[in-house]
Amino acid sequence: MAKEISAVNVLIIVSLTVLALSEIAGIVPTYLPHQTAFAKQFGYILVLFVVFHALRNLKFRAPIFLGIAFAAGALSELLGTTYGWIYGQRYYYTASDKVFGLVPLSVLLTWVAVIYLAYSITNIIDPAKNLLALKKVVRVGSFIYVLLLSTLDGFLAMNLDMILDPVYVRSGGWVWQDGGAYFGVPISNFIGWFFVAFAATFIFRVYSLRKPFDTAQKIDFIFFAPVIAYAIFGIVKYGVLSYVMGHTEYAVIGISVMFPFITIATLSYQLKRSTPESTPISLDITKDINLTQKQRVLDENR
Amino acid sequence: MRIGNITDFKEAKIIKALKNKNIDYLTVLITISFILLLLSQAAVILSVIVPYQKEFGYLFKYLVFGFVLFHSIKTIGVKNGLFFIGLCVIAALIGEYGATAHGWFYGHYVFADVPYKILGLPSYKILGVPLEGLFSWAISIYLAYCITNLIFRAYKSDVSRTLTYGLIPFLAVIDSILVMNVNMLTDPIAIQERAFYYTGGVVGKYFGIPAFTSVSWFLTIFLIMFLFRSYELRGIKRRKFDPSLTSQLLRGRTVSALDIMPLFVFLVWALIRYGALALVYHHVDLILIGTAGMIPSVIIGLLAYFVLKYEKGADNVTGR
Repeated sequence: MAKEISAVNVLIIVSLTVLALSEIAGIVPTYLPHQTAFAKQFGYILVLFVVFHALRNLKFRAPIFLGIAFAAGALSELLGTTYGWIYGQRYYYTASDKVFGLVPLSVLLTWVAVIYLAYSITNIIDPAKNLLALKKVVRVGSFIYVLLLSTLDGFLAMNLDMILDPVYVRSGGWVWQDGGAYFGVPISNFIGWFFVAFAATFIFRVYSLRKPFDTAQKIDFIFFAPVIAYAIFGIVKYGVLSYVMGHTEYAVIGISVMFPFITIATLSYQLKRSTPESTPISLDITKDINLTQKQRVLDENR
Repeated sequence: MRIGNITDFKEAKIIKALKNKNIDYLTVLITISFILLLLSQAAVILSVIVPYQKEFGYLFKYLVFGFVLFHSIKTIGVKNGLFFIGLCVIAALIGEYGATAHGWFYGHYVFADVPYKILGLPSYKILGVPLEGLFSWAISIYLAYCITNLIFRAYKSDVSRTLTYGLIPFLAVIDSILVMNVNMLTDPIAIQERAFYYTGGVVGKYFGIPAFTSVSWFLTIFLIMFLFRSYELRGIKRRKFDPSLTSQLLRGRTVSALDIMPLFVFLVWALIRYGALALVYHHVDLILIGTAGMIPSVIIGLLAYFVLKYEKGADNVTGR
């Protein structure tokens, strides 16, 4: 069977490759012209990757998801920097270019990337194939299930911050006014990260549960690509930075808290890929209904 | 790799055996030890007023070990259960002895003489390694093994046809990372309690522990689990679905309380017990690390249980 090559798939592959190259440029001398400037574009390339991937994954609902993620991230940052809400205490960014003089644009965009990566990795891990079946069996079951999925989303974002925040605080990217128990970062910051990602994905997941749409996608490399982006972003980028700073303990923590997601997602991908037909993600109720109808027709023919 | 010579008849027989609701003495022992270990931990952290509360709290480790022993015998058979625990204890003994006597792989450290907390007896050591420490390794590794198996079954319940030697490293890596996350919380607490200490003035960067020790233990557990899982798969293939239950993986989509209990024991054993101790030592940062490392695996385990229990319709729809 000929492999389907679409423009969006090409864009996803290209952006993921450029993302990896940008990270390499940031850690080893490549003798490329403008190497440092290229490495500094990492965050923007990641956002591009996320936008392309969302377009393939969520189709016409991609703007809704990305909008919710941006709103959640931006609102939390504005409230956090102004009043010290959400993250437990006030903090400020040291960069000169800031939106409303409070938050750098790159930080707001990174929130979109973090929340989307968390959402899509949870979908890769999600063992359910037929949420409709769950819904039939236990009335509140699907709601609890979605709650657990969003909890995982929250942890994916929070665990990434467990290496990101100490590295940025140490390098002077932002400053916590009163410091904190976790390498100078307050514990409440991590609770804030958890709830921002949790809330954003929970809104979208509940919306998708109530108004199902066809999100079936091929279990191919592109389906798995967010795991690679998350590993490059969370483990490679900040692992190397913490090593360079002489704080290997950040890297050990980062690896131990992010690796379970990466390994379980890899196992899930391996197993889902080996099934004869493409596996819908759990919210693909439309597809499940079609399959149920097909099954009924097959049974009747027998 | 497909496992040949498996008849549908034999498979049906096993599923029927698993679905048999008759309660045997092992199930009773598992349930009793499960309830007692929860109560024992509650007695310690919630200061529940019961007679002999302190002594009851000290029994926690033994109750967890009892749970692991009975659970392993019930779900993977007497021979495999004892082999599993024996393999973990021997590998841990070699690792700990290598470190304490020669400083191999994990840095040079020494175990302190902690007075035995029941009847005032001294703690028993083998080659300078506390016996209960060795059994703690077996407990953590077994609980991680159960969680990985539950997750795997939710993806592929027809394990007999889909489990291959190529997948063993994936499963062993997940087992190892789960145990590594337990150590990320328990080791700093043990250092705080001076249960062991590094010699030669070594102060590691991770709460006094050298960062490379986590990697060394990860590799050690990977090796243990790679060996056990390879042995297990070989057994499944050779025995061709032995009804004496040679593997948790053969339970297919049949789930019971036996499958979900290890999730809660894992939480109580590693996170709640040591989280409470971290609070005593004013290390909220360690609670954060423990929570971030362990809760996600437990949530994925819960999702897997949920899917195996309720997603029966999916079997017909997707052919799983």
